[in-house]
Amino acid sequence: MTMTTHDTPASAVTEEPRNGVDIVGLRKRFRAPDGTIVAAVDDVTLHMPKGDFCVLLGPSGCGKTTLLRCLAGLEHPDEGRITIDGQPVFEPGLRTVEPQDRPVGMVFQSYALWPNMTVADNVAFPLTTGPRKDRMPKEQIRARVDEVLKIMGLSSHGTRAIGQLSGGQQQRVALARAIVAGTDVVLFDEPLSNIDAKVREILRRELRAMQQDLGFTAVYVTHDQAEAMELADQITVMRSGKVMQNGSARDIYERPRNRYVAEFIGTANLIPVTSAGGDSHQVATAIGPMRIADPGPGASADGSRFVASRAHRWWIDTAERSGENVWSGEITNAVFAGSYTEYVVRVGETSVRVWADDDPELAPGRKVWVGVDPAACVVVLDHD
Amino acid sequence: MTSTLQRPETVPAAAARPARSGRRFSSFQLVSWVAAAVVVAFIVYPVGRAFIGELGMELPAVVGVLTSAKTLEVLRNAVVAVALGGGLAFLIGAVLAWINVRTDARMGWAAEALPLMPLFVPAIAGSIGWVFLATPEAGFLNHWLRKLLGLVGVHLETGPLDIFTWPGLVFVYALYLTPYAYLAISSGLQSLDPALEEAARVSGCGPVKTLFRVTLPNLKPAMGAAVLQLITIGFALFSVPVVIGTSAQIQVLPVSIVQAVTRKYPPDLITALSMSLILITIVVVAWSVERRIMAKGRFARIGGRGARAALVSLGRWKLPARLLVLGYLGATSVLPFLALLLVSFQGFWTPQVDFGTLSVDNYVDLWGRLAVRRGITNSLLLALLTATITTLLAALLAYLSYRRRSFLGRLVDGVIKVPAAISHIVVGIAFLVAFAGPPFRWNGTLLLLVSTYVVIFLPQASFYANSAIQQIGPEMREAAEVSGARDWRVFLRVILPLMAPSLVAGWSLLFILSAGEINASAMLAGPGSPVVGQAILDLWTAGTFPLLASLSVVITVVSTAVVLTVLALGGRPNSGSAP
Repeated sequence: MTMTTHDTPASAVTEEPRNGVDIVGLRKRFRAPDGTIVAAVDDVTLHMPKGDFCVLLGPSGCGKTTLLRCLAGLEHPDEGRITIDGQPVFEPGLRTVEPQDRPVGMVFQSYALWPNMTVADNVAFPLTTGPRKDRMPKEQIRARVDEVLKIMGLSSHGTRAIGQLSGGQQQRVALARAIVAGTDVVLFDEPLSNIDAKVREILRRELRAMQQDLGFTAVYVTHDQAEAMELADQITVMRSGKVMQNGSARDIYERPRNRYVAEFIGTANLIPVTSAGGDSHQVATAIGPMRIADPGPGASADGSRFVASRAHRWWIDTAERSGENVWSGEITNAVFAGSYTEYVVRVGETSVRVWADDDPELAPGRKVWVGVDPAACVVVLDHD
Repeated sequence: MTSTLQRPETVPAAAARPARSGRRFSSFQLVSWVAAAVVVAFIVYPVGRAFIGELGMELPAVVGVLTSAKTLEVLRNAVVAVALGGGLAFLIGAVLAWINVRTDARMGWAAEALPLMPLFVPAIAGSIGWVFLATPEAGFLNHWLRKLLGLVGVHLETGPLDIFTWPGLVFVYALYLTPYAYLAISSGLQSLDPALEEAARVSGCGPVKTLFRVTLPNLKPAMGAAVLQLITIGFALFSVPVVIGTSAQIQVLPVSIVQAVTRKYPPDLITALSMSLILITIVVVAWSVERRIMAKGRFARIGGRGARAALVSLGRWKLPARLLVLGYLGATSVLPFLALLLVSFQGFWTPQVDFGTLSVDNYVDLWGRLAVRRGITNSLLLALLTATITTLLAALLAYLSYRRRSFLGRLVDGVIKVPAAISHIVVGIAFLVAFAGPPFRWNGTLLLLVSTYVVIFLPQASFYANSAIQQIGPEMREAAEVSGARDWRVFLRVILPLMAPSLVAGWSLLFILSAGEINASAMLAGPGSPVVGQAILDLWTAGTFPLLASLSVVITVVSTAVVLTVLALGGRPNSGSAP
């Protein structure tokens, strides 16, 4: 067993450490097989408040899993600082706390349950790892394991082998193992990606309820934006190792900061802005002037910009309309998608997607009027 | 999920782990790196001392040995034996592999048993069995064939078969090399995505055209691996030529190397080492040629879906195909074993079997001989030690290089594979040179044998350990680390138990391989440390056939029992080592 020296005063931390997970200026580079250096995590600064459900969202290869593994201690960053609940766990040159000494639990994508142990042994494992003299007595461990298994609805499964469990049950065992030691931060690496869509929905709701009830800070990696929206208090959208936007689900969805976030989450109409400056509430675009209630920070920025708006915030009508943010156009395509129908409408040289109730009158070739609420529009940057 | 969710009672301080900064170097790492260093030293030092320290000083003598007529003759004999025997083995192995993988003549148990033949019946026992079967005068097969021929009016005094000839030698080489060709080619066939062939068929190729335009070109890597195996193992093969070649007056390179050490006093190390250089050169050249071929071609990689191709229907050829498979199994195991069994119950070896006089006296006699009995107990002890030490070392080293992909880890990984390329005999000589004399003076001790065996069998043990550990996803270890477990605990509670099934299989095979080890033992075992392999050679040289037969039977039975146990335990034994 490795002896550890206890913390020396963290002189390098200048500001007051906050509870939750604090990441400052984190960088992690890898050498790709062809010799090029890839920055998997590129200058990430992020705060995850205590007790929040924080989702790292992005396509595969965006660095979200590497960031999570840096939090667990499974990867060592090149630069930056990580503090968990006020305790520094990574400061370059000063300390690198190994995974076994970090106050975190983790649920792996494959669950990583040890097939050589029973369900109860798997869950008990984190309680039996410290120096022998510091360990809980055996009966207490058993009681604690029973308690956690009960919370997970697995009371009768303690003596089973891992192979005898369904995917959903394995996921709960993995969660039980992650929370059994009472750690305040639990890391999730795409834990639902191997499960059927139907079961996934149920487990997602259970997970959210359990997190709220037990009050741990969850850091959850996924590429599924619907999953992120449903689970998160805070969503961090990542791309190429960088944070694109960080905020609540509503923020991210309704006030995307740049084109990437707008396109990654939901279906957005991006209408190019044609001239800079002027009235920030009245923007010249490829389809004419657009009224925008709250243009956001993008309005005053330089460079290529777009007006972003969600497809379902548009309306479509066969009767002529007039006023602000109203255009006439021609339907070029209609795709029935169940709860809505997507109409692609040609306005000038630009196509606009409108999600509306299905209407047999709205057939391709038909002339229509479309429009959008100024409150549903925001100006986004082409590049961040 | 229960509806009564609640935050668990406050967990005692011990469970809530505070963040601590860990020491960089744990006792586990210390132990593993020390073990790695010792292993590397035990490989690099003897090989270096033998070939640089010893041989480097005597370059004119080396040139003399390498250019002598005697060396050229034994080399030529080895090349002929390996080329013909290996070529035949390649053909038989390929046909058997095709029958067992791709046709409806396949027999599941035969497919399993075939690559294991050298483990069921060790080559030394099999060779002696074939001597009993096909010696011109007293061979059982010859005796019965003469009787049959007598019925049709042909009367012979000797023959018609003669094992002590070039064809006889090539035949036995082929028998005991076939499994290596079979293993490589059948696994190539199994991993070749059947869709490649199906696509060719759908594109309008007939079955024969498909075989030549798609199947065979894509099997090139497997065939290359088979040839490399045949060359590596064929040139190192000692037990077959020592039994059959010597009596046939055909001296083969490995036998000359061993005899330079055992038949001369003091041992002629310069000759042995110089000839070993030839062995090493052959393997290195073969290996680099194979690498070059592999690097050049574009070959189908493993399909990975485990799809099985539709089996080729052989129709009326199904029975002959099955007879071929059974014939091979009979020739390598059943026939020689029956011959050994028969002689082991006879007072003296004779083809006239008188069932009234058969007795177990030989086994009693065997047990009564102190040298043999000590050989058996020594061999069992050595096997126990070798298998255990090697397995644990290999597991530890495999974990070390799997945990951190460092340059040092890869170096250790590379060094422990060296003994596989330089054959038992060469390792044996290197150890003799390095440790038998001063300052170690281990000559005639079990210590010398154990350390040699460990180095000899380490490549095979690491093959098991590496394949075991590669099946364990890295998240198994990471989950343990995030759960707070340290090195020793991760290794002992998670990694080792998950590796256990493969390690047990590997252990058992190392056990029988080291119990019957004959190549290095022939040189290293002295009167002070007799082992089974050496006892067999002594009995062979002395011509004590009934005793020799009974000892061979014992070895074969023990071997087979262990392999069957491993199979029953679900292990997948592998015979990929020099016999």
